[in-house]
Amino acid sequence: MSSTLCTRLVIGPNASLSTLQACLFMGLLGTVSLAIGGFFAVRGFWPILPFAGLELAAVAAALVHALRRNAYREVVSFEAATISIAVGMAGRGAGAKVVLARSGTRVLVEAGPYRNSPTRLRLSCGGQTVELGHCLTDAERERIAVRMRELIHPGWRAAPKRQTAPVESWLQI
Amino acid sequence: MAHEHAHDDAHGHDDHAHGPDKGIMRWIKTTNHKDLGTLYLFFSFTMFFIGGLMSLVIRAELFQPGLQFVDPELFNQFTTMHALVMIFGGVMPGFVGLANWMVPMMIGCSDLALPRVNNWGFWLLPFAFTMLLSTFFLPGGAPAGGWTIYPPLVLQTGNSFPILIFAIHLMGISSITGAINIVVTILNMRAPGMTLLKMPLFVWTWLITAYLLIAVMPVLAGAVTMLLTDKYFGTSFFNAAGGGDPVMFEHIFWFFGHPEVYIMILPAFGIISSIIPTFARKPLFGYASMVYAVASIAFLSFIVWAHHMFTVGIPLAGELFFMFSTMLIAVPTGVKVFNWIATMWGGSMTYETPMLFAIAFVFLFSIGGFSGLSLALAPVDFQYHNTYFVVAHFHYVLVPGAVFSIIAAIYYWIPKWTGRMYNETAGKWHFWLSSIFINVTFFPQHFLGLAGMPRRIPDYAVQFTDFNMVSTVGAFGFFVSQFIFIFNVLACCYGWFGRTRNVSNQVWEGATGLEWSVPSPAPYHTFEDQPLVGDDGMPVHGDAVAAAAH
Repeated sequence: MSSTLCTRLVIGPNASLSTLQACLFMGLLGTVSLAIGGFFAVRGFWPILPFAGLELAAVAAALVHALRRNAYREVVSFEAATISIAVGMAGRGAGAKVVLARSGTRVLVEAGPYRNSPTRLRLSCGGQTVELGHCLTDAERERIAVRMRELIHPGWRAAPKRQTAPVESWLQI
Repeated sequence: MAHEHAHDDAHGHDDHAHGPDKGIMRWIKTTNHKDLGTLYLFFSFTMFFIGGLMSLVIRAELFQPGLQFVDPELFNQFTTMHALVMIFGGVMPGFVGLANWMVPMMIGCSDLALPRVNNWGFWLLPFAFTMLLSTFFLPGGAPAGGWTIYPPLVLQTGNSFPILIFAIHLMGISSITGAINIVVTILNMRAPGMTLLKMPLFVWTWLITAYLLIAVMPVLAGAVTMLLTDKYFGTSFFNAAGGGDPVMFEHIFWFFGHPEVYIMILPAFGIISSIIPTFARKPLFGYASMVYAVASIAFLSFIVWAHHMFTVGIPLAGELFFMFSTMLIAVPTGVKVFNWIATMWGGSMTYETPMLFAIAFVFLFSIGGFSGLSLALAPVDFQYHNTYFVVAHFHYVLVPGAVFSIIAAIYYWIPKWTGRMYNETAGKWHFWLSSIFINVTFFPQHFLGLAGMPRRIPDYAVQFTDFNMVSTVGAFGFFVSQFIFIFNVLACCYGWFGRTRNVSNQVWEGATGLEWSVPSPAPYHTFEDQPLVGDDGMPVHGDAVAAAAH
């Protein structure tokens, strides 16, 4: 078996805000807010400035929180004999990596522990289980499970009829 | 090698996809945007009721000259608290409630970006207003120096003063948490395809409102803190005897206060911009110009504050600047009114209750706008200042403006929220009674002001009696007619009078937008399956999604 990469799935949260846009917004807000606070501080009414600073810090914290969440990625690489799963933040490398044998891996979508709690998407191989798709909805977990089963397809069975494009950009939304 | 990207909004709260809890804990612990939207709206209407009762005491006292029901000190407490309760407890939470309900559904995400912060932001409000209202029972009574809390008058307030300041801080924190949440949600959690210039106007107006809130709330927080230190810590920010400047408080207050006026009206513009195209069955005329007009109004709101204080004696150049900058606001506002009328022009119009309130908004808000233009003229303002003309002006802007838009929004969206249609006949009765009585209440106040009756007085000269009597009758009529609305809304919520959940997803024939693509009532968690937004702002389904995805 060669280790040729066949397909890679990249799972990440939806995000309409880029780091640049967040910086632009903070710049626009900070300039106005600090200009107002600074003006009054120069006139002797300094207590406005610390409140402006506090509020900007709160906005910045909220944006950083959002951007951090946006950077979360799960990368599932389907190779000839193995499936490697890397989890981490975009641009910072994989925080954790697991390799499973492709032929023995099953894709499971299980109900959550409580009534109406989210489903769980797991890749299970022998005694090893990896949970994926935290940032997806139930419907998306179902869809991606179907796609993974197609891709895992045990080697002793015929390959799926569906032709995978060399560079497939399958944007699940 | 192939890349497959699975995108969806991440959820920052543990109860993702849980159903609601049972009982009271559902409402205390909830992080769901719909639950919190409902809580905000119920809170807002409770405050409208309390503030409305205060206004009835005021109007009853003013029914005829002389002192009938309350002494002058208590009258001043009622005028002050009426304003604080209506502005910070009624109008602002009302719009935040609507934003909580509708913004995530309009941009295609399943909740706000910071759900726990959302819960905390709401639950600050009942504490803030319980504290504020409890001041009626303190020695010295409630604050009585007017909602503008000008020193040195407000520094004469008794034990309620620090409580007032603390309550204002809590309201401010609540507003800021709401604003930050909405900004981050709109910027980061829009569905794929929902570009900025495809967002519904309500979302745009809320984005700009949230920006204004974040920019000016520190000014209010700083101002009230300086009042507190002047009274209790020996500072002299506004104490002339210590080298301070009381007029600077007015500058600082109105630097916050005028953008605050727009904070209370911009979301109303968004609501009206959603309703009119639906019932005219035409796209909104001049969408982009509407967005730019809202942004222009927000910008101008920072440079007009001193028109509230022409009479304190600012230099002529200052008066001219603030006069012209204020009049400039009429331009983007005129663009909006023109666009609403152009949207209706040639449309296939029907006149359901939300549309009636929207049309009344356009007409009556314009009256408030015109009286505002009169007040913007410095020489004229010298005559009008501190008279009932000002009271008539801002009530025309805030009641048929902000309050009518909230009412219109509730009639418009309540079938989506509850799955039940309101009673149209009762809605029309509510509309006509409200519209008539609101004019009966506030239109005569223009004449009272022009004749020279000052505001914030419990007694008046006998020549003002007739118009005051008319105004009082109107106020009681308006208050009573709101019970039709309350019963209509509660009937939708609880299924009274045999109302069943039978409305379609779209509800209104001409409605467009993501919120109308989900079932009615909207599921507890909307957009579990992330929508892809097409060029028309509507979700793309089925094969089209697959085609776009590949």
